[in-house]
Amino acid sequence: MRFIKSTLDKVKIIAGNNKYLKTFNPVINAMDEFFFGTDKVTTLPHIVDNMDIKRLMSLVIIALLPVTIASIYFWGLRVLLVIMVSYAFGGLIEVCFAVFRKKEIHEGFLVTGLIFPLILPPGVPLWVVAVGVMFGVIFGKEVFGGTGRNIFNPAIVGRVFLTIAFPNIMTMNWQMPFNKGLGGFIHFQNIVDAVTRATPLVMLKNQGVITPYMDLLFGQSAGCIGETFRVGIIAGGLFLIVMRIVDWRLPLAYLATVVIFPYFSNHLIHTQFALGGFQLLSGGLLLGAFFMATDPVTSPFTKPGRWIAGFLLGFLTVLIRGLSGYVEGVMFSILLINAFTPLIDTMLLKIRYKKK
Amino acid sequence: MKALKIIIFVVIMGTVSSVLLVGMNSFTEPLISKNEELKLKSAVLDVLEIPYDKLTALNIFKDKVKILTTDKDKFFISGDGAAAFEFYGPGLWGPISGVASVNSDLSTIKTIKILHQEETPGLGSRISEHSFLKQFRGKEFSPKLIFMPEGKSSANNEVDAITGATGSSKALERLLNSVLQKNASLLKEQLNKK
Amino acid sequence: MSPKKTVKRSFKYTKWFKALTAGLWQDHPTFCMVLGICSMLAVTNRMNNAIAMGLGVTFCTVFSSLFISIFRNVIPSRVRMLAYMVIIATFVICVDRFLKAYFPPISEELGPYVGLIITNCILMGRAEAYAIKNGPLLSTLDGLGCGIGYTFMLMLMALVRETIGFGTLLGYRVMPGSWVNWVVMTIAPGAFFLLGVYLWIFRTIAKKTEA
Repeated sequence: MRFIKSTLDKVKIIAGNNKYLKTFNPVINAMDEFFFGTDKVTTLPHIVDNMDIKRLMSLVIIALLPVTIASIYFWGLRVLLVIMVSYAFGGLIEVCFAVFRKKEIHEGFLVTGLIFPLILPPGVPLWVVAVGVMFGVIFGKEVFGGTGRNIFNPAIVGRVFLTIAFPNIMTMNWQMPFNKGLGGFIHFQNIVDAVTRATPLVMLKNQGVITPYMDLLFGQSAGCIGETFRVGIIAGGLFLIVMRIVDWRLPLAYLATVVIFPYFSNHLIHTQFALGGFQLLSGGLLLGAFFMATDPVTSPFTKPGRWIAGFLLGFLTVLIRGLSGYVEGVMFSILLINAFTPLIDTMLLKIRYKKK
Repeated sequence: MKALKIIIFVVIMGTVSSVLLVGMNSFTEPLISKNEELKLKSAVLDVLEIPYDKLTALNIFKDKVKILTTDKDKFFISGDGAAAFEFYGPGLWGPISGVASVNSDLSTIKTIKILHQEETPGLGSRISEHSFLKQFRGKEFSPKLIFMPEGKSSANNEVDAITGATGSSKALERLLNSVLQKNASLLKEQLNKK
Repeated sequence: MSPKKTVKRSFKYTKWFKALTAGLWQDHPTFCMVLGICSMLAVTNRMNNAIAMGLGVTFCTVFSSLFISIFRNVIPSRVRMLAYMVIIATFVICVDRFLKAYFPPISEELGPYVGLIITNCILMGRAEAYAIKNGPLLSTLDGLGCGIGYTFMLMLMALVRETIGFGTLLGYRVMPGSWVNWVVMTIAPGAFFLLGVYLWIFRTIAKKTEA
């Protein structure tokens, strides 16, 4: 880190003296901000931090890179196309609103545009991606006033909309991942055995089959584009925690509840929830817990609030997975708890700063 | 005095509106009950696969369908021995009701028609679609009708479930199994008695 | 300026015209007062249902306004809510029986929502806000305006919901064969989003025209 700092400082001095290199000043400043943050306090999307959005968003994208690359390996080059469609149409909406409102374009969309394709099934038609991302950006973000003012996570809004609007498409396009040689890097899409594979959660619900943990960890199971390579997700999540982008309390509370709650309820009130370990490693739980529930805009900013939100998320996820008609409950629970976030924060602040 | 006026007003208003409604009711009642009869009978004709149109449905029903009543149930038997009956029971989210018919051997299904269901729109609600229900034709329901994951049904008592609607499929499986077997055995008893 | 135009213009400012058009634009029951949302979300999934429901509501607003305004001097003010309820309920039950007798499929699709016209705030609102204070003719026009405004909004909703949700319009196929139905549009959540978008559009227009 110190090395980078000194190099950057030297480059700055050289560039400052050279009139040709001066044109590259914005790039150098951006690099500086990217690695070390700025002294400027920005108000969006987080209020009390002196990091700037650009750096925060870039780090989240870096954390998502292993998952993205792995997903291309597992599902083929079509994933790139899906991501491009997501960026193009989401960006279009973003630009339209920025122009109409005469405001700057925020970088917030960079993360939404990448996370959104990662939570879609691999065989999803491209027009569905476009519809979903447009809906997510408009109704998840822009109607509330843009980045930093949204109540709900735009990516999840888009995903839930698609789940309700096109239940057939969203529940049938599961495929088996590539696992030999260069895999998806040299194929466009896995066509063989494309439709009939079920996700681990579906297999559990229908046939009681538990997919081996190793397969789940290393992406050898069907699922959404970015949710199957769980080692990568864990690594990315830990990276964010170490870089202090993400607070460790919420993911910890969320994941711990998911692991412990089924155990207790199975023993105490004899329900039939799947075991904690399997719950932890299946579905979109890890991706949701590290990357979406912790969204700085839509998660509580008080520390006890994070514990509470994490606990509620875990509780709801297990309940929805176990008892409802849907097999996956992560996105519904995150959406619900997003709605409760302001309430949790206000209550806690009221308790703490009670008027005497 | 004021209270009296209010009471008189309320009584008069109530009487007038009641009279109006009673008149309306006696006027529409026969039409409504006829509509309901037509609905049931045309559904029965549907599952027994007797062609009809709206105007002649009641007459055709009278000519071609024999009604067999037991203490609780009603069976509709057509000329070729196929029998139809109403069924209802719990689905995943709400009640499911419909009409089913069995062939004259009383062990295979002829047609199933779902009249009412409240399953998840787009997923579970597909149980009432023709493309799903047509696969029941000729399937054996004793000892048990089995719903298999989509594309895996092969034996004569297996049908494809709906992918993504496990709960609704299971509920329908349970409902059909209990209803078909109960009614088939009841019907056998009745026919043997004769 | 031709004399014809003057006549037109003066007609525009008569009480009658005002009573009739209030419900169509500046006091529109849905997008201005946001009333009657419940049944609107429930019945607009198909055009047939929307039209039937709209006509039913219009019938009820017109006749309940008329009768309430005829009896406005007789109705004791302490039991006026009760009187509204009885008068409205009478007409609503008439509509319900009529649909059941002559249009059983539509009645079945609308389900309990025909009966629930009784609780539609538009009817109570017009009764309390207008019919109790004005003469029969104006009240009837006001009820008619509100009813037509509501029907128009129902049809606008159904237009989008049926084409996107079922790919049909009035039962005829309008979308290409490869069209994938948006299930969300056939259920209440889709109607919520659509209503939000309509309110957004209409209020923006209203703001611009007022300013």
